[in-house]
Amino acid sequence: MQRRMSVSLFIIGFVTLLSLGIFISSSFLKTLNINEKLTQLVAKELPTYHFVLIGEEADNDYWRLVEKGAKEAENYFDVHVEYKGPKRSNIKEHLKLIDMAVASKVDGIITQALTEEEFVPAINRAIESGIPVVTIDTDAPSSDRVAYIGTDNYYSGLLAGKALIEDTEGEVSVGIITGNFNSEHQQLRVQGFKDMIKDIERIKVVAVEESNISRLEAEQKAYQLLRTYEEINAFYGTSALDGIGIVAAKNKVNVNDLYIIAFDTLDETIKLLEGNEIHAVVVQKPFEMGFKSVEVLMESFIYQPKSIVNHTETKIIRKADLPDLETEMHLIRE
Amino acid sequence: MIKIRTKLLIYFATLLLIMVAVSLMLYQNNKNAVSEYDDNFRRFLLLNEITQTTNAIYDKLTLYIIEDSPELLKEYTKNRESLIQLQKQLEDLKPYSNNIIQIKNYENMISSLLEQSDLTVLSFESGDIDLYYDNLFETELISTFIHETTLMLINEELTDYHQFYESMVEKQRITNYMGIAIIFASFIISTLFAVWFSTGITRSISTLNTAAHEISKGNFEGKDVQVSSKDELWFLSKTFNEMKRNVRQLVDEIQENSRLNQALKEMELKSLQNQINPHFLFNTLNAILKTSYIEGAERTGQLISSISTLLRYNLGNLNKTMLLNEEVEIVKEYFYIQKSRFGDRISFEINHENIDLSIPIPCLTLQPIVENAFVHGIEELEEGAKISLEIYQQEDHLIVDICDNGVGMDERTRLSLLKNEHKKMGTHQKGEGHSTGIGMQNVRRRLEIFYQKVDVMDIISSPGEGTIIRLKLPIHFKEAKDD
Repeated sequence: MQRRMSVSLFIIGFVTLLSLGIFISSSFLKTLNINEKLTQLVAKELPTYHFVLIGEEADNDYWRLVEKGAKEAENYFDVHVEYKGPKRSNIKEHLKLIDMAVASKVDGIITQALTEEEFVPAINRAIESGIPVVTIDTDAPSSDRVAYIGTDNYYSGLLAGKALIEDTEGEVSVGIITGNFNSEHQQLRVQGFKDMIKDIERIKVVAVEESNISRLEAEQKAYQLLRTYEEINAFYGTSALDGIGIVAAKNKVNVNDLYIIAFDTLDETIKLLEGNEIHAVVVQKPFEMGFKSVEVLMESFIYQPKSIVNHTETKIIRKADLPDLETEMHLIRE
Repeated sequence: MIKIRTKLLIYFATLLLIMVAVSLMLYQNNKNAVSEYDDNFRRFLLLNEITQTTNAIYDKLTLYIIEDSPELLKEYTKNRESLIQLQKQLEDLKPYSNNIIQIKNYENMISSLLEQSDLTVLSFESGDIDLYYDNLFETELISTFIHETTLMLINEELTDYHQFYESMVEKQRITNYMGIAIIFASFIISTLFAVWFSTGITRSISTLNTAAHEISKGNFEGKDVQVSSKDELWFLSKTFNEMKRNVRQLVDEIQENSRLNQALKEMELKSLQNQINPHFLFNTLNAILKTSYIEGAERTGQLISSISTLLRYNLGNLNKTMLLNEEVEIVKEYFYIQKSRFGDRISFEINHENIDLSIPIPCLTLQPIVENAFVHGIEELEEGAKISLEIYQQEDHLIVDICDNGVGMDERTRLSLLKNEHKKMGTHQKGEGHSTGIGMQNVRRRLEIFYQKVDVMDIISSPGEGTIIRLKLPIHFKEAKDD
């Protein structure tokens, strides 16, 4: 009797001990894991070069693609690319970031030059301090920048105008939503468009409004235009989010039969193109721009770039061209 | 042998060791955690100190330019030195940060600030108002950059710290549970050990207890006490078992002695029973002997002489040890008497080829056997009965064979004669015994006790084939016990 009791006591004790042992060892492993995680915070050796890429707006899908391209270049060159940008498109903020990069003694600056007037001094200051500057997306031709990488914005405006002429018939009144009146590249895109259609009698531009590269403002401005000018039956958005804003405004006013040309292949824009809400999109190559800018900057340490102005590809796509685009985007995301 | 004390010492030492190890582990863990918190906190302090110093540098620089006093320049230099020191400390911060690139920027900004402020001082001292104003403006700009970057860094570090803090809290929690589990496990281990250990002791003690109880009741036959552990209890039970065996042996010896005494007493009683005033009989026989000689009856005289010898021998002290040849003589006398009784119906023979017969033997050994052979074996035979006494040497034993060609005995009788049946002895044999009445078993027992060995007597017999009673007497026997 007593023997059986002590045997069962031993069995219970043993089982408890076993489970405790398992618990203890698993906790031990967990603490080891945590320790490893804590030590993983130790950063790796920095590459030799350190570039700063300053975009128009930090958290913007278009600029994210540029960043992705630049980051991709890290795999090919001994460089670290730091991506920065104002929270909202803001020239003062943007200029400050350039000055900060100069004070931080980075090895190279890749920046958008929204306006000649304000950006040229900042770019020249950096060059004076011995830091090479590459402009991207929008050029400041009068500055001492090493090179420009980006779309030929005037040409892209021409392409948009050409698409409108090809796709429409009869009287067309165009409302233009542009990112910013002060931005060089936005001006060029509008200018190119206007130049393309100026000889066509049936097409005329009714109004141009700025969206401040904000989706909401784009919607608001398009809405106002639709209200004010009932004859508008086509829209042209020159910055990435304008097209989406225009579609949203169109849906509010309940106007059908609105021909819309948008800029840049954001996911939402592509979806709208698929849904026949947008009819043509001007495609830029932000990924290629990012990559190329780093490449040119790296090359500039060795020799003066062959050409200062490097235009990346730009084209018009319609719904039929979507499959080609899909594969291209897929390659980028890989 | 491991002593109980040693076992206990090891047990307590182990327990203590586990406890100390666990508390040390927990203590170390806590200490590490605190130091890590401390290190992390130090970063924030460092970042804060850098902005403070940067601001101070700019303030002093501005004041110096306005007031142009060497005191302020000195203060400016002092701040400058401390900023350089702080900048060096940033280097230590780098390896543990996710914001390594920002820290690098930060360092460079500090360098820019130092350069710019130096330029300002230089241009001020050279009196170039335009230049030093520009430089001062530049310094201010950089100091605001530094301030902003500090805020951003603190922000980033806080984000990282949050993650770090969560991990640390998690680790702390797990370690605490682990400590509790270890304490619980060691508690169970020690409990199990204590139970095992104490049952080991108590079980041994209780078996010892039972055994002692048995012995106190006089039962020495119980099994030995077995103790599995090799400690003092093992030793105790070993000695206890030895003691029990010794006591049992002693008791056996005492019983043996009392049995011997009983056999002797019985024999004495028997012989007393058989003598009807033996001295009167003896004297009468002597008178008859004389008369027979006077009357010239020599054969009668011879017979009476034999019977008188036999009688005298029988009347002697039964405890006395005789020699074998004396016993043989008595047998001869007995044969003579029986010969005269039965004449040619029976023949007697004694063969002992020149063997030294002077070995000790208990009194009245051969004669009762011969008488037995006579009475049970051949008395009923009409003719040709024969009894012989053969003595010869075999290795270091003298073999005495008492052979008859009588009716023999069956196996059961034979075995019963060779078996020890103490209680029946005397009563059972009483009826069958003859003149002296001393049974075979009595003789055998006495021989066994006398020679201190068991196989002294053997019986070879089967019904109708005669009987051989064989005695094996050790030649070199020295009488051990002589009373």
